[in-house]
Parts: sequence; structure tokens; C-alpha cells
Amino acid sequence: MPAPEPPAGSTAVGGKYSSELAGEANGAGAPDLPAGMVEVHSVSKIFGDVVAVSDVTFAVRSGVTALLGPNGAGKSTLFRMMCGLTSPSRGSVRVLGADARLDRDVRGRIGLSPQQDALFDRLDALDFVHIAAETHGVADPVDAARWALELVELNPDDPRPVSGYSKGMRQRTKLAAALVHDPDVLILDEPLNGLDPLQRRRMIDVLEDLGAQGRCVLVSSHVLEEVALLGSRILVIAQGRLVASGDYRELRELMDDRPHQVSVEADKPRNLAAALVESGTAVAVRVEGSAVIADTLDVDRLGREIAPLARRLDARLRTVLPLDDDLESVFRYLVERR
Amino acid sequence: MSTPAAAAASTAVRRRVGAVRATVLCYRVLIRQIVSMGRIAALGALGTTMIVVGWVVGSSSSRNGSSTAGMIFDGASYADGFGLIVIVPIVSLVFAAASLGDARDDGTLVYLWLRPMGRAPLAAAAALASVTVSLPLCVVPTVLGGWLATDFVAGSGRVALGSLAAAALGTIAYSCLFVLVGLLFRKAVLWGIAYILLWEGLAVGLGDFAERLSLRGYARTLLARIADVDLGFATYRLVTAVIVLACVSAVSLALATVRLRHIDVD
Repeated sequence: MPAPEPPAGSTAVGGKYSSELAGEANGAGAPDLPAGMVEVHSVSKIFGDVVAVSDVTFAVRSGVTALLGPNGAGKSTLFRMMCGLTSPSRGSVRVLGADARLDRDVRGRIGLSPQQDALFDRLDALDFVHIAAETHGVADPVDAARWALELVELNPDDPRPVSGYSKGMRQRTKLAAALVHDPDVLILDEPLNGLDPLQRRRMIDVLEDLGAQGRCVLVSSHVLEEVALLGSRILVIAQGRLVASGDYRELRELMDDRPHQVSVEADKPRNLAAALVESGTAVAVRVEGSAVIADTLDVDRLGREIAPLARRLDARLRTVLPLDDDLESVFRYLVERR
Repeated sequence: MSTPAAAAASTAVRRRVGAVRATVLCYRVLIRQIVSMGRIAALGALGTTMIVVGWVVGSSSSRNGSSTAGMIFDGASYADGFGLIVIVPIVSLVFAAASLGDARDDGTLVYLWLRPMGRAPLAAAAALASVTVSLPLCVVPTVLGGWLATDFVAGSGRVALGSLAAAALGTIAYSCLFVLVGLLFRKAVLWGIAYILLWEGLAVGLGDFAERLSLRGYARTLLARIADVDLGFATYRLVTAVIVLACVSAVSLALATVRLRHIDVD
């Protein structure tokens, strides 16, 4: 994303104030940060009879990490505990080595874009972000606010109060307020909601830049395409539990012991379907027009054997297409497995 | 793993937000959030009603040939019965409960809570914002209404002065109390109205002990002592009333600060 030109004495995107915040002594753009910037240890959160989060443990380093899960999975509750907005019922949450609920310095190093749409509706965007900068003690809050708004492609001189903004503009105002003090830990709850595809792509670029600079960027989403685009480490949360973690490829490998579905378009689909079952390559098949939908426990074997089988049947293969090789399938499988 | 000290060290170049600065920043936000045309118009109309009725009371008492002492008593009673019992608590409740209560309910409190600032400035800013808006809406009608009800007889200045002191200190004490109520309860205005009607309105009639636990009695004492009028249920010394109202304000703000430290923020 083309970032606005940072003022003199500061570094590039996401790092307008990097040199100030990181301290120039280490000579790097990123601060001297601990490996586990966010550490969640055996954390549970119980609201009355509802267990929102159950015995979750993970640590998050710098870079972009996505918290993936359906609505009500406990993502926002985990984020709230990280920010100190609520205490865990059991376990501990440490951000930069401290409890944000108790340590005001750590609170100053967190940028949060909450899920709720609420803003100070009587303020315009510049005022809103300016207040965020001032309350974080940013040395030049007006410049910082303008920079942050331009970063999210909002006009700092727009005189309208934010109550007149569209959902996407409100979302970007929240993001600007979360970014304005160049936090070490950025916690963004469903930050891409309401953004159009172009804005979404650009925002993902910004987040990746921040992650590459050594910031810890935590993003929650229930939209799997967003997480796939982020190309990040993924923590899958379902029913308050951490059900899987890793990058997309690692999560995909978790799937090897479950049936995969492959669509094979070919001549003589009925013959091909019978041959797939007979050879043990597929455990179940159905024919839809010229396509064979095959369920297999070993997708690699099917890939190796489909061509010789078709040759033997004198059938011409047109396409071989995995039907569940996307994050949606991984996610659904992991959630249903619980 | 980093220690809190190490964490703090890397942010040392960021300016620390001191208590006064934090109070000013929060005040700027909160005062803009609590003021709305609807609230000002409705509560302004209530105050205007008090002033108009006070003028009518004063005029009719004068025409009926009431004595000076009677006019003074009527003015003080009117300032108490309308100003201190209705306007001061209601106006304070509307703005003070909204200051942090609305922010908590609508989810904007997070934008002031998750900051490297103490909690006391946030509570103080809420009370200050509330008092700033409430004070003119409480003091002007209470003073003018009470004064007009005396029809400016000799000694009416004492009623105005007593009304001023009682309305001002009452507004401050109620505002601090209702900031706390706004943090303790959702739908704080309903709880506040219940408190005003059931406790301040009825329970004080239950006897001396109950009266001691009501703010109204202390505010009324200020008016009665300064105006030199016997209003009943205003049996404290002037200094006692001032100290109690100041203590209620301070304790309410202290409890609001504690509440902010432990509150679950959406």
C-alpha cells in the first residue's frame, strides 16, 4: 500500500515513530522485543454458566498472526483479556511480559481496534485519532493523526463527524486510532469488516509491513479468505478452545487422515468410478454428468493412479480438481472434529 | 520473556501522560459526548419552568400581602422544593450517569480506558464534565426561581445566596455520586431516578437517621442556614453540611476510580 510520506526523522510505513519508540540504540527498525510478545497460559474465561474460553495456551511472536474461528468462538474474549479489558477466570495473559490491566506502560504499547462499531460520534476523524494520539502521549499528535488517517486512506480534513461515516470508513478510523502511536502489539478484532476488496488488500499489505518490521500483529477473522490472504500464522479457535495452530500448509497437513473429495471429469465416468472403487483408491464415488466425485483417504495416491486408470479404460481425462483444498474445508473439519 | 521494566524501557521516549493532562484530555472528549441539544432543551425547559413559576409565586404572594418573613420563607421553600429536590438531582443524574455510563454501554469507554493513564483522571474528568454542564442548568433556575418567589423583599439576597451555595455544592455532590452509579449499573438513569424518588424523596421522611444518609438534607441545610430560614430536616451546622457534601464527592470519585480499575470493558 502506498504509504504517506513520513515526517523527517522517522522511518517508513508503520514506523513513522519507529525510531522514537524503538530507541535508536539498537540500530534496527524494530524494538528490542521478547520472543513471546503475547503469552497466553492455560487461560479460561467463564461468564456465569458460559465457558467463553477454555484452557487456551499459546505464545505469539512478531509478525502477523490470525485468530480464526466462527462467531462466538471466543476470539474477542481472548483479545479483551490480552488488552486487560477483562481478567481471565483462570490462567494468565502477558503482553510484553506484563499484565495490561495493571501495567499502564504496556497499555501504551498496545493498539486495539475493537470489534464494536462504536466511536465518539460527535468528533470528526481527525479529532478522534488526535485524541488517541494525545492520550498515548505521542509527541506530535496532530502530525501523527494525519499520518495515520492517510495511511488508511481517509481524508484528515473531512469535517464530517464520524457518525456520518460509512461502516468501512468507521472501520478505517478505528484502525487509524489503533496505529497512531505505532504500537508494538497491534490487536485488531475483525479489522477488515466493511472494507471493499481494494481497501482490504491494501490494509493487508499494511499489516504485513508492520509484521515484517517486528511488530506483533494479531488479527481475528471468521472470514477464511481474509486469513488466507494474510498468509500468516493461524490459530484456530472453536468453542473457546484452541483447536489448531500453524500456517496454512501445516493446517492442511492435519487433514491427511480425513476423507478428501476430488472431482474428476473424464469420458466414461461410470467406468472410471467403478475402477476407482475397485482399486481401493476411492472409498465412495458418485457420478454427476461427466464428473466423478470421489471420496479418498489418500489424495496423493489418487493423484498418482488416476492417469494410469484412465489410460487403461481408454477414457480421456479432462480435469482433476480437489473440492476441499481450501481453508474453509480445513476450518470446517477442525471445528467439527471438536 | 520481557519484564515489565524492560517493556517500559523501550517506551521511555514516549511522553508520559500526567494526571492533569489525562484529566483535560478525557474531559474534552466526555463533555462533547454528554452534551446534546435534546438534553439541554429538555432540562433547560425544566429550569425555565421553575423561573416562571417562581415569578408567579412571588407576584401572587406580594399581592396577597404576605409578610417579609413569609416571603423569605416562601422563596427558600420554593428553591428547596423545586430546585434542590427536582432540578439539581435530575440534571446531575442525566449528565453524570451518561458521562461514563453511556461510554460503557455503547462500547466507547475502551478508547479512554486502554491508554497509559491512571484511572483517577478518567473519573475526575467525568465528574468535571458533568458539573460543567449541570451547574448552570441547576444554579440559574434555583437561584432565580427562589429569588423571584421572594418578590425581592428585604433579605431576599440571602435566599439567592443560600440557593446558590446549596445548588452548586449539591450539583457537585450528586454529579460525583451519579458518575459512580453510571459505572455500577447499566441503565444508570433508571437506578438514579429510583434513588432520587425512593430514598431522597421518601426515605428522608423516615426519621433522623435516614435523613443523615440523604444528600438533600445537607444541601437544604446550606440554604436554610444562609437564608436564615427554618426549612425542617435541615438541622446540621453549616460547616457539617459543607464537609459532608465534599466527603460524598470525594468518596464517590474514589470509588469510581476503584470501579474503573476492576471494571470489565467491552
